[in-house]
Amino acid sequence: MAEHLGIFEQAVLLALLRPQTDLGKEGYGRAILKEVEHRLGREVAAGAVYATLDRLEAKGFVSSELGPGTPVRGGRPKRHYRIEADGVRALNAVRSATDRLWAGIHLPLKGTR
Amino acid sequence: MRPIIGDLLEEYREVVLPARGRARAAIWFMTQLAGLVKPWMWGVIIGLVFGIENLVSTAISPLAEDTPALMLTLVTVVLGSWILVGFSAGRRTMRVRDAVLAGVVVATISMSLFGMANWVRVTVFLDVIKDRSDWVGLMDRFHASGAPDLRSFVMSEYSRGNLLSTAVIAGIGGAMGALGGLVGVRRHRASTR
Repeated sequence: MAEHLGIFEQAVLLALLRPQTDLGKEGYGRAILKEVEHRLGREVAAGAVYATLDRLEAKGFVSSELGPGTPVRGGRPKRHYRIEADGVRALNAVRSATDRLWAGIHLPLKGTR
Repeated sequence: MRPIIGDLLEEYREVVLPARGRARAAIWFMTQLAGLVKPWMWGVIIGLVFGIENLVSTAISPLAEDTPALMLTLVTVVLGSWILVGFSAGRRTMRVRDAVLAGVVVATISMSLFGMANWVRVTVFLDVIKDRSDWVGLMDRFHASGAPDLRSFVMSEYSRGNLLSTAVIAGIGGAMGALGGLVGVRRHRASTR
């Protein structure tokens, strides 16, 4: 059975797979945060993004490596993330499941009352 | 942790400071940092701070009275910190259930550590603190019990009290977490509207 992915996990994986902003293409923590905010259209707590990245890395859906720091970061390194094949498979699985669920249903939905 | 602090510094210097000014940017930075601390870590921090404070104040002035103002401040700070943990969890996950759980975890851990510090306090300072005015009732119970050893009597009383109070305190922690979580979820919804 495919691994369940929450909306937020999907947003983080999609931010890595298909970044839509210039900063997002850099793939480090802050860049992913901005990309996720852009996709969800709302402000996101940094802690939520880092916790999700940790969880996805533990599942083997993403991997990371440290890059050099910059003066604006006080010399602290950047952790760059990359989506792995298992992460792409999980996204495909969740999308297929969602499409099956919504097949034949037209929007907007109308209530019964 | 260093890359995360670097990310926050970058955002702070490039975006938040120019847009919000020094004071509000500092609040933003502290809020983000606090959001990275997990509920159980808050429990450890709060428990250690109050436990150590209890030990130090006993060492300095073992017979000093616990004034109502001091007790009120202590209770306000502890309950306030549990509410903040619930607020943070509710804001992050948008679920009051998570805020309740965070409140229970932080309250249980912090009060367990505080209880352990109290054990150390009794072990180290028993000969002095047995003359405290708020120990009169305990000493009366000891004399009435006929127990041969004050230390083991006090430890046994504390153990019984701790088991009961941990359960009650977990409940209070859950309630404070729910309170903070409700506000956190509402704040989250308001900011995304």
